[in-house]
Amino acid sequence: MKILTMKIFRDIQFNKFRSIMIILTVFLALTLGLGLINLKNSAMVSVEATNKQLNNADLRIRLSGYIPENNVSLLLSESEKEAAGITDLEGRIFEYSTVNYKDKIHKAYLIGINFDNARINKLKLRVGDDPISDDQVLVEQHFGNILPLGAQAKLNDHLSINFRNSIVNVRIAGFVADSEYIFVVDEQTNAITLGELCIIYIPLEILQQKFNLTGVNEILVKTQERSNAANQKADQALSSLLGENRIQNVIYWDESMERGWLELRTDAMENIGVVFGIFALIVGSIAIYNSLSKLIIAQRTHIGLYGALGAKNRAILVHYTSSGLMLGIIGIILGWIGATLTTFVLINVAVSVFGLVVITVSSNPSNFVIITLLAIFLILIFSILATLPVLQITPHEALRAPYSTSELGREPFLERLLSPFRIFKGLASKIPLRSVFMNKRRSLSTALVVSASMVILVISASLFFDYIYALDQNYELYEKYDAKVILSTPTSETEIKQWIHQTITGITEIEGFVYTSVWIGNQRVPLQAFHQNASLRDYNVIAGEKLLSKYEILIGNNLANDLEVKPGDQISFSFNLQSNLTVEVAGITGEIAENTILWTIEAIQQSVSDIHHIGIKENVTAFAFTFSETISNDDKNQIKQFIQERFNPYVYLDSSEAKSTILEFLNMFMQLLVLVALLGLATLVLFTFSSMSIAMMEREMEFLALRAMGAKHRTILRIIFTENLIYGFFGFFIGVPISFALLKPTYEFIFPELYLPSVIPVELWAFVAVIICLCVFLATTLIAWRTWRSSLPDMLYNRMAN
Amino acid sequence: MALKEPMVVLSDVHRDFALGDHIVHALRGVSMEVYEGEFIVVLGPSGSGKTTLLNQIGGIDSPTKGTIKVKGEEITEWGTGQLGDYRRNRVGWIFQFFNLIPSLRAWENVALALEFKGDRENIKSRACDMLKAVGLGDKTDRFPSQLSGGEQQRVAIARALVKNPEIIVADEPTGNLDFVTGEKIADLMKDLNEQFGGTYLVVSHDINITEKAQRVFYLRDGQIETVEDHSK
Repeated sequence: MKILTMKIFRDIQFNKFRSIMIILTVFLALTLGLGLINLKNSAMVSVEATNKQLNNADLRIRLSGYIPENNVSLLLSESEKEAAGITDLEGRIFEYSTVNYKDKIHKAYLIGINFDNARINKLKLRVGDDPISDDQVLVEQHFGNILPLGAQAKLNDHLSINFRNSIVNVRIAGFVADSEYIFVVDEQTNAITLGELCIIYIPLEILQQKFNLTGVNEILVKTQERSNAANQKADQALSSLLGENRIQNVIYWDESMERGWLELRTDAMENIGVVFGIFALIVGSIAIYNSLSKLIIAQRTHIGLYGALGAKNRAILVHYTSSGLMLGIIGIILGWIGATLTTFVLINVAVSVFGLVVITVSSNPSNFVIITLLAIFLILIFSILATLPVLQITPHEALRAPYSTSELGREPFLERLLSPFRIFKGLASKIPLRSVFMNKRRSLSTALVVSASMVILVISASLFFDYIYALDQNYELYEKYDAKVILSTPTSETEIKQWIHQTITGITEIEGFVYTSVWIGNQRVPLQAFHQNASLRDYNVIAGEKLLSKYEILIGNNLANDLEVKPGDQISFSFNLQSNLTVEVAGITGEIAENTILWTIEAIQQSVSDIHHIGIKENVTAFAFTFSETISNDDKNQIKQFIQERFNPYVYLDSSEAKSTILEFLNMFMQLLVLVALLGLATLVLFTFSSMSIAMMEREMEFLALRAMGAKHRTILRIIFTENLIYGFFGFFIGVPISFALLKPTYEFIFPELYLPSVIPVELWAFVAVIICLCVFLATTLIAWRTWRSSLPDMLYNRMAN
Repeated sequence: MALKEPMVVLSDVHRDFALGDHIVHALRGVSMEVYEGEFIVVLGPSGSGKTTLLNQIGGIDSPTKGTIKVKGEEITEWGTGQLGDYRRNRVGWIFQFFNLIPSLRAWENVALALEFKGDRENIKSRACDMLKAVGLGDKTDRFPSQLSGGEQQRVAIARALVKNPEIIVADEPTGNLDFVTGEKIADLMKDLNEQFGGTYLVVSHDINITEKAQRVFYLRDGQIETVEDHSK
């Protein structure tokens, strides 16, 4: 081995702290970035494996009525199935209902299946046993206490099923995983209802007996291959057999709400990985630059000696670049392991919330290759940049006298500014100010690492705060009602108000509104229309103006992006696919309802000529109301029951419940974000701490000289602390504006479908300031400890020996 | 005639260092006396314990065994804090590699010693006066990197002397300088010794300095081999 190559290893060994810090920075960058990027792949592979194991349906055909046959596979002959690309068909019952569990009414799906012989959408028993008596049922796992969310029902608990005006009491025999309900997305509201929606599985024949049903109303289909083309072919074959009119809706596996949510969330996590991974890599690269620069300053005499011995500049350059690269590569290899572990932890967090049956940590090899190459490229570039100054070191200069890195010039402005203050009058207090401001290049690289680390922390923490904030704002300022009811049949608003005033106490304000869907081309889009002067609904207009008239509408941010419309554009839609209305987009809203068209009842009534067809000429399809402030939860439940009995609504949604459901889901998502924020925090602490420490370590001799002169411990401590504090301030004041500038594009990149205003609370700044102080404290303590612990005579002697 | 009291008395001073599994006996029972105002040079081959001896007297290190008394006070009994006070108030150190603070100007480097001592009165003018005394009156505002090696050592000497220490300890003060500059520094130190007083203990191989010493201690293997008295 060449002597210089051996020296690389020796340098790594003798400068353990520096070496470990470089390795750790690269390791953390890869762990964070690649770990999150791998999560998407792992989640998708895990879901696919779960789907495969439980033989998830490729196509679900919901019928408008029942077909008498239980065995739907007989509907098609083998040759017809072959021609339609269908491999299997299975019938089941699917009904919407409600259950009363511990005096709380939950929305429920009743699913009647053949437990023993189920071939498609098989259930995986997680806890308990199969039902052995008629009053026993299985319940989807999110409703149970085996997952952290929701109702936390236990085995053998009682449920009262309310379906078709009869109430049936059952007991929970077991909790099951169903590949169809990973997020438990409510099909009617498209809302995530983890632990709120009760999905009950009852043996098919028992369900038929209990509620006097014949046959099945849903067909599950497996096709020869899992593709949209195969789904369409099977769909067409069954539609022509059953007749279009008998089909209520068809759900393709890849267009299901569940899959949409999965892709949305995993896409977000992947994007978070890309954003933070790249940030961390840049920070890591600057940290390497910083560290190598210090190494070169520390080894200036060595470099001069190489020159004196006749070494070529290129050899010296390669020597020091290799040192950075070698440490970087060790970091990359460890980073692969860290990334795999991160993905494993994250996927297990996901499993603990979603209850996936199969967990797979999988990574896309191209991600590994791209990230690794990017990391090597950045490390190489920054290593070369850091080592370039060796070309300017001449043997004569390097070997002549101790090297001072101070640049010449006037005292820093800050020193002149602070000098009138007594505390800054002493010479010792000038040392840190001058060390920072008169060594601009060295200080800049340290300040950059601190600032960039801060960007990671601020963005990850802001994501957390802003997500919660957006939700709070939505329910406090825009959807100001406490509950909303979506009716199954349009009803007169006057009649609703009269009935409520006469029957129910505890409701203060009621407003009817129209909640329906319209067609834009072939796309169905929700439309919400309150009264022109509604007091329970306001709109967060983020572009354009809040004009709602016969000719003007508001449109949700996400929908506007999908349709590529902006304020002032014209948009055409229809209520029944026949007559199109053209209106102007007055403004874009940024709310939770991001895919909705917002209009007014008055405008609809004036504009829509065939409105009587859809029953909203004088009626409303929904109403919203507020509870009195003193109302109890029992009273709220009773009101819900009264309204359900009177109106048999499609949906009854309590805002606080909706909010808590979203929050519960967010909590889970937040766990992931918290993990990201923690990694961001670790990055900040480590990178900042190491940069500060390395920046000070090269000046160890300076501190030793002060000690030899009899400087008190607290004097040296104050010098180190002040210098680190200045770096901390730099980090804060450079990092914070950069964070602000990057927040919006980062949000848009990570959550393209969600409007997230960036409102960073005061607490976050306090938190960031505390973290900076912690880094300053850690770095100061380490250096002070090293300076004080080291033997003064030994250090002086060693320095001379060098 | 009353006998002159020695200022520094070393009695059977030992200093051992652990070097891996081995114990290195850097000093093996050194006993010596130094009188106030003397200019003493310690000579010896590499590894003979010269710097270790200086560190004991200069309050940077403490002996493993034996006693050191300075003006009757036994400094070997002192803790870190008291040794700090001793270095701050009574000892001026001059290093081979100058060890100036790079971010401070020449006068500030000198004045820093006064600041540490807590003696802030006319700090700048006193520092400048001392720099003038070492021949740097026109370079008081320069940073160390703007000075030559000899000039940097002059600043270091001024820093050591400005607080009027009882003992000036210099470890190879000309070791990093060329012959001519070394000679100038040696002359300067001797002049300052005569001008301002103070007891000088200098480790050096430089003939320029050795010639100016009143006594020369030869050290070998951690023991004083011979003492040459030039004053007689």
